[in-house]
Amino acid sequence: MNSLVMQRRVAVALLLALTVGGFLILFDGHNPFAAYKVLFFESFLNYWGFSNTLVKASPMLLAGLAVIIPMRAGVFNIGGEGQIYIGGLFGTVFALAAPDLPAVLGVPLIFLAAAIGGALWAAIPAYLKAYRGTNEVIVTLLMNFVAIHIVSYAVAGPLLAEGAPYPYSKEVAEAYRLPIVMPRSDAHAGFVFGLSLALILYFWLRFTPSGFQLDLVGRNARAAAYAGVDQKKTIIRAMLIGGSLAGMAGAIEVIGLKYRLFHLFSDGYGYDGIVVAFLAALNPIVAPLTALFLAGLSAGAGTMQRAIGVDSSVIEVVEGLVVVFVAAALVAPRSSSKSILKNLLIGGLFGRQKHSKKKEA
Amino acid sequence: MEEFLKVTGVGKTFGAVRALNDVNLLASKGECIAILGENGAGKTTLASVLIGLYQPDSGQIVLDGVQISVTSPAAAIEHGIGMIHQHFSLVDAMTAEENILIGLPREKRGPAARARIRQLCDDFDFTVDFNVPVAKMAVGMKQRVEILKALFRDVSILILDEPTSVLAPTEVAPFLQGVRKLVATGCLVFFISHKLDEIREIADRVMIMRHGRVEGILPVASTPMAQMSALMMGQADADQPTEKPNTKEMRLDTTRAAKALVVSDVSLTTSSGAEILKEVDLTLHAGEILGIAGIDGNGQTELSEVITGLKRQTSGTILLGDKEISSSSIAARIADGIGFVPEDRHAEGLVLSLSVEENFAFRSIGEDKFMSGGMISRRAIGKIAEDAVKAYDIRPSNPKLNASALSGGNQQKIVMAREVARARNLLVVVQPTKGLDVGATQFVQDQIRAVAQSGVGVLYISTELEHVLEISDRVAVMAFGRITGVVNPQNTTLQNIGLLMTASPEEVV
Repeated sequence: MNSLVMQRRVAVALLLALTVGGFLILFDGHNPFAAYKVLFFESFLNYWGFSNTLVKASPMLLAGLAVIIPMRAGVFNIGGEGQIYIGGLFGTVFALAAPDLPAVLGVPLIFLAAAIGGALWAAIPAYLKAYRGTNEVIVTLLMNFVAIHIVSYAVAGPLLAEGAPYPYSKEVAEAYRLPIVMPRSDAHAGFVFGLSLALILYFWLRFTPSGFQLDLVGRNARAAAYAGVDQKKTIIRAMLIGGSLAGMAGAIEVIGLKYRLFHLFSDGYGYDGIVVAFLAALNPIVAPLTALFLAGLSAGAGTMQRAIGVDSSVIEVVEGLVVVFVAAALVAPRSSSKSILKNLLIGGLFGRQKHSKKKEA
Repeated sequence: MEEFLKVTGVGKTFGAVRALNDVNLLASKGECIAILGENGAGKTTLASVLIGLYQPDSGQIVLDGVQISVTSPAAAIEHGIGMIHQHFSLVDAMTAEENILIGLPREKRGPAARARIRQLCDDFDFTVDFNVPVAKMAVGMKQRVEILKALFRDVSILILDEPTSVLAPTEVAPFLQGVRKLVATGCLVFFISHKLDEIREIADRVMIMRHGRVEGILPVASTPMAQMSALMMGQADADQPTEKPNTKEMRLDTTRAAKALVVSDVSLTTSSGAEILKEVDLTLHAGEILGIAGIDGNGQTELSEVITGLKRQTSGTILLGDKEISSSSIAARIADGIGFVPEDRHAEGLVLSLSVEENFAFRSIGEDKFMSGGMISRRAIGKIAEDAVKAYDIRPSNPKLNASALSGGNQQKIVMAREVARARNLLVVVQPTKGLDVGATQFVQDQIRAVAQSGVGVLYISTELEHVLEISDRVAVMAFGRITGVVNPQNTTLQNIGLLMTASPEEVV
C-alpha cells in the first residue's frame, strides 16, 4: 500500500469515526453538528482554545515519536508514559541542582538530563528484548507503573517543596522556563521543539544509512541480518531513541507548563502517543498533525461539554473509535476495489489479512 | 471419453493483466493432466480458480454434469477438489495424524480414522513417520502428509503445484510412483510443472498455457518435447537457434588461476550438539564455478551462511583470496566483494515492502555509490536500479513499485542483479533456479557464467543436479555436513554422484 492510498484510507477512517461518534451524540439528545462545531472551533480557531491544544499537543507529539522510532525497528514501546515520568524526574533534579546556569546552557542540559533518564528507563526493556527475547510490550507497560510511583515517592519525599500542600517539588529557576509562543497564554515552545525533532527523524530515517537500516530491521529482520545489520543493537538503539524522546516530553511538561515536578504530572500522554503514532502511520513527519488532531479533540471536549451539555466522555469514545477505524484502515484489503469505503470495510474490519507475516517475524 | 470436469470460457483479470483468457478444458476421471507454462502464464491462477481462492470473472465450471461455483477452498473440498501448494500448510508442532485430521468433527477423528490413514499409506506406498512432529520431517515426507490430508477428505480432483521443485532428486521417483497410483484409483490429477521430463513420465495429456491462454491440450505420448516447449515459449522464440557455445571448453584451465576462496577444516556445531558441518575443505579458483550438490538439508545452506558471515563456524578458517575472513562481520564481507544469493529470496533476499529500487540498495546502503554529500541519494539509487531493471529486463519496469508487486522470477532477477554487481571476488548462489521457468533459468545461468568469465569465483549450491552438472567446472558433493567427493562433471556418472550424495556418515570417514 503506498503512502497516498494509506493517507486517503486514514482520512476515510477518521470520517467514519466522527460519524459513528455523531450518532452517539445524537442518542445523547444533542445535535452532533453543533457539538462538533463547538469542538473544532474551540480547539483550533479560538485563540485560547488553540493555545490549550498546543500545550497538550507538545508532549503527545514527542510521545508519538517515542512510539514511532522503536516501531519502525519492529519494537512496540508502550512505555512512553513511564519514560516521560523518569525524564521529568531527571530534568527536574538537574534543574534544581544547577539553578544558576545561563538559559542557553541550562535548558539544553535539562533536556539532555531528561533524555538520559528516559533512555535509561527504556534501556531495561530494550536489553531484555534484544538479548533475552522478553516481550517488550509487557515489560514497558509494567515499568510505567513503577516509574509513576518512583516520581510520586520523589516528590512526596526527597524533592517535596517546603510547605507544599500536595506532592510537588520546588519551582525550577525562572530562566529555565520555555518561551511562550502565544502571548498571555500557556502555549510554550514545546510544540516547535517537537516539530523540529519530527523533521530531523523523518530525514534520518529516509536519508541516512543508520536510519534506513533501523527501518529495515522492522520491515524484515532476516533481510536486515542478510544486509549485515545487527538486529540486537538496532533494537537497543531504537528503544534508546524512543526513551529519550519520551523523556524530553517529561522535561517539556516541567519547564514548559508547570515549572515544578508534580505527583501524577502526565495524564496518560505516553498512551496518547501510541494513538498519535498509528494515526500517522508511523511516519514522523505526519505525527505533528495527528498530535494536533488528538490534542484538539481532548482540549475541545471540555468546552463542548460546557457549551452543549454533551458528556465529554463521548469524545473519549470518539478517540477510541478513531483508533479502531484507523487500525482497520491500515490493514491491506483482501480484494481491491475502487471504493475506499468498501475497501476499508472488507479489508480492514471484516476481511482477513492478505499476507501472512509469519515468515518475517 | 466420459467428461468429469468441464471448464468453459473461464477468464480472470487483475487490474490491467488478463491472467486467464477464455480457458476451456475437458477432463475425465483417472487422468493426469500436466499444466505447462512459463512463470506468469496463468497456471497457478487457473488452479486458484478451481479451488476457490479466486472467483473467475467469466465462464463456468461443470463437475460431473452439475454446474458448480467454488466460493472458497472449503467449498472446493466439499466438491472433492484439493490442492497441494508449493508452500505446505501444515502445523509444524503437530504430528502427521493431527495434521491430517485437523478441522474435522470429533466423530471423524476416532481410531477408525487413524486406521484409514494407515490404510491410505499402505495403498499408495507412502512412508510416513507417525511418531514425530511435522517440523522434524524431511520435505518429501511433509508433502506426503499434505497429499494424505487431501486423500483423507476424499478428493476426486487433486492439483499439485510444482510438487517436485521442493524434493531431493532421490525423492522424485517414489513421489511420481505415488501419483501414478492415485491416478490409477480414478483420481483426476493436475500436475503443474515446467520440467518436461517429469511431464513426459507422469502425464497423459499436457495443457500448455501462455499469457493466460490455453495454447493446446495434447496427448503427451505423441507430442515431441520440442513442440511442447515451442508452444510454451511462443513460436517466435522457438524459431531462434537454441545452441549455445560450450563455455566449459572455451574457458581456461581455472585450477591454475589464483585462489578466490579457501575453506579449511570448517565445522559447525549447534548449541544442542548437532554437527551441521564437519571438517569441510574447499578451494575455489578465480573464474571457476564450483558446484555443490547434495540432497536438501545436508549442510549446504549452512555452508553458504558460514562463508558469507550469517553464521559463525565453530572451528576452521576461511580465506578470501589471501585475506582471512574467518571472523569478519557480514558487512565487512559485503565490502570485500562477496555477493550472496540466498535460498529464500522472499524472506531473506528482498524486503517486499520496499520499492524495487530500494531493494537494489538495502544490502549496502552506506556505500559511496548510493550516497551523495553524506546522505542517501534517492536519485543515485534510482539511476542504478533503472539501469539494472533494463539490463535484466525486470518487469514491470517501474523501479518505484513495491517489490511485492513483481512475480517470483522477476524478484529473483533483482536479487541476482544486485549480487552479481556486488561480487568482485566471490559469488555464492543457493538454489538460484528454484521455481524459475525454462527461460528464466537460462537467463540466470548465463549471468552466472558471465560473472565467472570476468574472473570471479562462483560457488553454485543447488539440489537440482542437472543444473549443477551443466554449469559447474567441478562439483563437490555434500552429505551429512561433509564433502564426500569432488568430481569433474564431464567424466562422472550420475550413479557415482548418487553414491556420494547418499554416502552414510560411517562410510565417509
